[in-house]
Amino acid sequence: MRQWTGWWRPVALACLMAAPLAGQGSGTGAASTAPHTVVTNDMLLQAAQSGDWLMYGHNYWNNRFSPLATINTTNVRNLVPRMVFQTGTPQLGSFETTPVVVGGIMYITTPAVPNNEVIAVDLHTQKTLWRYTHKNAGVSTACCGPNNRGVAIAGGTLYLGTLDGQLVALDQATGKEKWAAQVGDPAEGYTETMAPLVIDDKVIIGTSGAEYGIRGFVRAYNAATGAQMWNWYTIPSPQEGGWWGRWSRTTGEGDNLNRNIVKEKADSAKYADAWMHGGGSMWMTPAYDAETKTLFVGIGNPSPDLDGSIRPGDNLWSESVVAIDATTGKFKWGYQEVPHDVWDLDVVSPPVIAMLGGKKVVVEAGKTGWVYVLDAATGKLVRRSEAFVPQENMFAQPSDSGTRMLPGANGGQEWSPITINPTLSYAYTVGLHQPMHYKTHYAPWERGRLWLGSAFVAIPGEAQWGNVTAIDLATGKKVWQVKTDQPMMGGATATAGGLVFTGEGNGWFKAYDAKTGAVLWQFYCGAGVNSAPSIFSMDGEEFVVVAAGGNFQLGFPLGDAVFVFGLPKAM
Amino acid sequence: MESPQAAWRAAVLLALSSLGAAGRAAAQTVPVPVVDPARLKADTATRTAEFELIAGLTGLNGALNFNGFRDGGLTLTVPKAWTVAVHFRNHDGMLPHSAEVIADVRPIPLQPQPPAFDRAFTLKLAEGLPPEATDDFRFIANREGTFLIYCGVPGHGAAGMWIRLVVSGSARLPKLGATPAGR
Repeated sequence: MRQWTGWWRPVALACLMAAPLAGQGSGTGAASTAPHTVVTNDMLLQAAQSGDWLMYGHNYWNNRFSPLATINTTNVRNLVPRMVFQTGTPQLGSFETTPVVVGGIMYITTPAVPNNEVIAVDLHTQKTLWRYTHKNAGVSTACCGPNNRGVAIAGGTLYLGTLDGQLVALDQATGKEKWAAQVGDPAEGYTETMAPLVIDDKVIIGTSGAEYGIRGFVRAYNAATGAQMWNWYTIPSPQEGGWWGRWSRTTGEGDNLNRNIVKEKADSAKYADAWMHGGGSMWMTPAYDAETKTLFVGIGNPSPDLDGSIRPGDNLWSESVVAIDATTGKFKWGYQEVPHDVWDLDVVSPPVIAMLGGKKVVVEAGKTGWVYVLDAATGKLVRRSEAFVPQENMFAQPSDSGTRMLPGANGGQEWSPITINPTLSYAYTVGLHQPMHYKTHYAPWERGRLWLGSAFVAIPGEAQWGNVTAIDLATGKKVWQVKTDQPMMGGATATAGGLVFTGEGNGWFKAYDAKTGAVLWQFYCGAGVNSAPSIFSMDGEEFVVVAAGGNFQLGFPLGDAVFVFGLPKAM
Repeated sequence: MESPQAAWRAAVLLALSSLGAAGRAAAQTVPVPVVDPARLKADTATRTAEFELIAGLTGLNGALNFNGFRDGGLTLTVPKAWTVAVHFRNHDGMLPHSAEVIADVRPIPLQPQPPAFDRAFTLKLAEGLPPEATDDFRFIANREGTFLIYCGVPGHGAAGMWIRLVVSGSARLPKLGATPAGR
């Protein structure tokens, strides 16, 4: 089923031979003796200054900003592939891993089709050190296709979420399993695709599954034993205050949501138990503020996605950015971007912490097509940006015959992480333009069945495309925007070298000038580049690594390659 | 140009769908899938059944349905030795889908299977075809029995995206009918 035509393999091999990574040829046997740097809490706390890539979002603020600047606006045009690693998995799927790289060892995950795998590769020798395979139980509840976005690492252990709902701890040196905890039941729709986050002695993980009527949660597990330490449900029960909220007629910014509040209130007793299957996935890795010990989490859609008639109320805390005490799991504040959402406008792209005018803020790029800037201490809105994708008929209610609305059901900004350049105070989004008709279709909840309450129908003949946008967080204005041929899905990464890296579904991986949006370099990877890249240093050199394996949901060409780019090695 | 018969069928379908909408206004009811006989045409001269197979036609089962049916709720019956020409279209705006004819097995498989008849599958069986993409396949129904028309995208078939195909030694003409749904 592979899409590769094979033309690029000799090219890649030639590149690899012509410009090997540092250290190659230093002797055989390095694979078995390669030192695995043990990642300490201090290293994680200082990750923002690190030349390694220690966690999904590079650092606890989740900004995907590398301080490395050897590769910069003047020399990036010289970038070449220095290594191409193929996972060799028997089947292909959405390849969305962000490689974690520590001391020249790269840890990547495969798309979980059908099994989850973690591979440790010594970049000095280009040898695979170990390969862990988790044989998934049969899962038919991965709504948007099986995938995995990466691992967490700390204290000599790697942490992996699996498609069949487990959190697994692996020995960093050997890939042997230390423990496994069942986080949720995949038969009910609880699946894991996110990269976990390690904070002190805890591993933080959420769950996917709001397309199946789960009740979402955020959890902390003991990093050493796998014992659950705390749990916070994303959908509060009536005893916890309920999910009805303030019966908001508008968004927090004043947009009319076109709700029939009278009818919702009249129906609220009839649907009093709707919260039990109320959804609220935590799809992505949260941001963490070590100073206040606060997690900032993005919570996705309520269940069912488009049929709001059977879930009266604001459906807290779906479609929200939520602050949680990382020590206790207690709720601090929440900001709901779309109360009573019936358009699948998730808060799914991971929140990011930034400094703005001396104040700590949380930044989130919504599927709505706006970037939200919130006060990190209070959750109050600081500003909402200009829209970075076209919006049309926003918040019109879906109908039996179909309601046209933009952005489409993928956003806006999908799960793709944004990046922030803290010096410029710019956020970089990767957007989608997919006109769709929203059709209601009533369905009762059934265990383990896709439960959308709707159909999203593409509009034949309408063009779909994407864009990359720089937004000034101080003003909310677009600084620059570049249109792309296809909807964007994968994520962006910025560097102190004045660059922004992101890939496209057509196989192009590009470097943009962070200030102007000029495309300074591009490389064709032969399959969709639908993952967020990592930046790291090794033996004094800077490298850019990205998975090029396409995306199932958008039909982008699949593959199994991980490209490592660097400046040409001096002969 | 649309035939009077087709126009009449469309009017009946519209009326049925309107009734469904009115019903929902009073109380939430699950829309009843409607068999559309216009999706099947028979050519007795060439002994060919032309079947229009639409993935995600309605929102039933989160759009994991064929022609608005899931879990075998629709059965296509064809006479043995006829040629079956399947015209596939993916109407789901969110997910890729595919189709293949497989053996009638339980549990419903998670992954694509060897086709029950030569060439009885669409392109990109596991990856699926994107929204509004089309593909045609033809095969000779040279074996009697009950088979499944199944989405080969991993997990979709097991989640209910399948209908039935019966190859009959006694049937004289192809037919399309609702059947009890069941996993």
